[in-house]
Amino acid sequence: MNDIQIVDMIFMRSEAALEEMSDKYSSLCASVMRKVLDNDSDIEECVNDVRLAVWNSIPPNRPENLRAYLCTLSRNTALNKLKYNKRMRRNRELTVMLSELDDCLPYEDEELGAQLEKERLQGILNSFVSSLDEKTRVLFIRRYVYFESPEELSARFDISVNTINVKLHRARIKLKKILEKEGFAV
Amino acid sequence: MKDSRSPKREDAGLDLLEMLGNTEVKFTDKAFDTDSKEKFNSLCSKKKERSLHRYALAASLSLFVSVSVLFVLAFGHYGKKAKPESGNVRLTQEKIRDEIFAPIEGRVVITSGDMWNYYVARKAIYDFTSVMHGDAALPERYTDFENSVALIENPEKPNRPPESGYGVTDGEVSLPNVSENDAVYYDLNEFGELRITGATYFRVEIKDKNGIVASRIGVGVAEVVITQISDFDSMITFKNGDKYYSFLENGLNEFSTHKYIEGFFVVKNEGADTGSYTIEYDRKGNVLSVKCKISSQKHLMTDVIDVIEGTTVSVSADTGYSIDELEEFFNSKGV
Repeated sequence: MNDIQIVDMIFMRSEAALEEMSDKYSSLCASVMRKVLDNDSDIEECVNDVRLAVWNSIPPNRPENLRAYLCTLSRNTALNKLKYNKRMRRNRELTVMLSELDDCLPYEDEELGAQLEKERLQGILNSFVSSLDEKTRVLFIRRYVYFESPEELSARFDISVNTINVKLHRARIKLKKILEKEGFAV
Repeated sequence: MKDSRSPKREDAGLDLLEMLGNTEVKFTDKAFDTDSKEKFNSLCSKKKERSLHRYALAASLSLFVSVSVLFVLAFGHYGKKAKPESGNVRLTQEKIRDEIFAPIEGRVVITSGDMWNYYVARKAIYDFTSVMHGDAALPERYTDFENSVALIENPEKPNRPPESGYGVTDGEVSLPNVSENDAVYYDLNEFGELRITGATYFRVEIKDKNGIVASRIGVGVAEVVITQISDFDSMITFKNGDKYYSFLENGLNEFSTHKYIEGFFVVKNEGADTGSYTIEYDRKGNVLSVKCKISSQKHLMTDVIDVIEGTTVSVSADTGYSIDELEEFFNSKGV
């Protein structure tokens, strides 16, 4: 089955299609989670969580790009796992990403969502991503949504790591200025 | 690489990461599908298409321009014989133009206002040489304030930089290193366009190793660009290899080092030694001299900078370029 057929069959509640999806994409989901989680048993648990999330979200969702949809579900599931399990040692790559995003965060020790209602913040982030030029947007999303390292981006697009770091830095500074303007204290 | 400050701050970072994951599907899908160099390079912006159009226009007029420029510069400077520098090949305007239009070796990454100004000038000369005003005494100055670059006065001092100084290392771009005496900061909006109404390019030989300019970029032959950013804030940039030094106009054709570029900031430092550099032109817009007067708390000095004859290229151009557009242009093959 191709991806469109898998989605259509899951939409019609076919468990066989779900199995087909798992066979095809479990390793992809695990590879995304491995950038966030270190523990194999947690990764395996999260892969199963993603499978359940797909079953519960289709319908009403009908993703046009199943691979991208699964990657997004995988990274969010892994982040949720990490967030509520303080005892886990964080993956080094995630630690690097968190330190990069540190400049965008409010100064006070408050949860981001508590300072500003999540819906409005999500709108702000969508506007920010929309305001980036196409190439910077691709780099930014691949870095902070799909967790590709600057080295991986460099190899993929044949651009120097230095250039990628400069472009990502400029984007982070722009996000910081937008959050400041919207009322965050930095 | 900084460490997160506290567990709560780490959770805030995770919140942000989570929300970024909920970015609109049309963007995440597009980014996910852009998975190769070819697809990435196919993401052309409208600005690149505009540049290509101008390139085609400039190329079609290049023969006429070459003749015009040579004529202007052959008869533009009167009264003085050209003296080739000892040991150097005599430069001609044609050679200068060829060098400006030639591909740049290495990759261009613009990480400061200095570099931005330099490449804006080169791009403007590249795009607008076909409309050069050969009879003007000086590049035309427009009073179209709407097209002036937005120099935003920011009375708050920027964050203090890390000790490593300015540059890009390990994923970090450090902030300008400014002293406590610096008074007012202007923020060049690095996410927009640097708009100009004219650009001049010429070369100099910096001879005084004790001069202010030499202290920033060394001695030897340097490239210089002057851009008319607005009626009040023209910028001069000296470039020697990978070193740049820029400062702003303080009066007609006079530039003062007390208002200089650091990173993407315009910094004013009233307390330090300042140099006043006056640019002298002939009637055809060729730079004749760069006369320097340095004032310090203790004594007056001079900075010896000699203009290399026959190296001036000027355009009047109401235009602007973003950093991304310039990097894309100068890093393209065959340009």
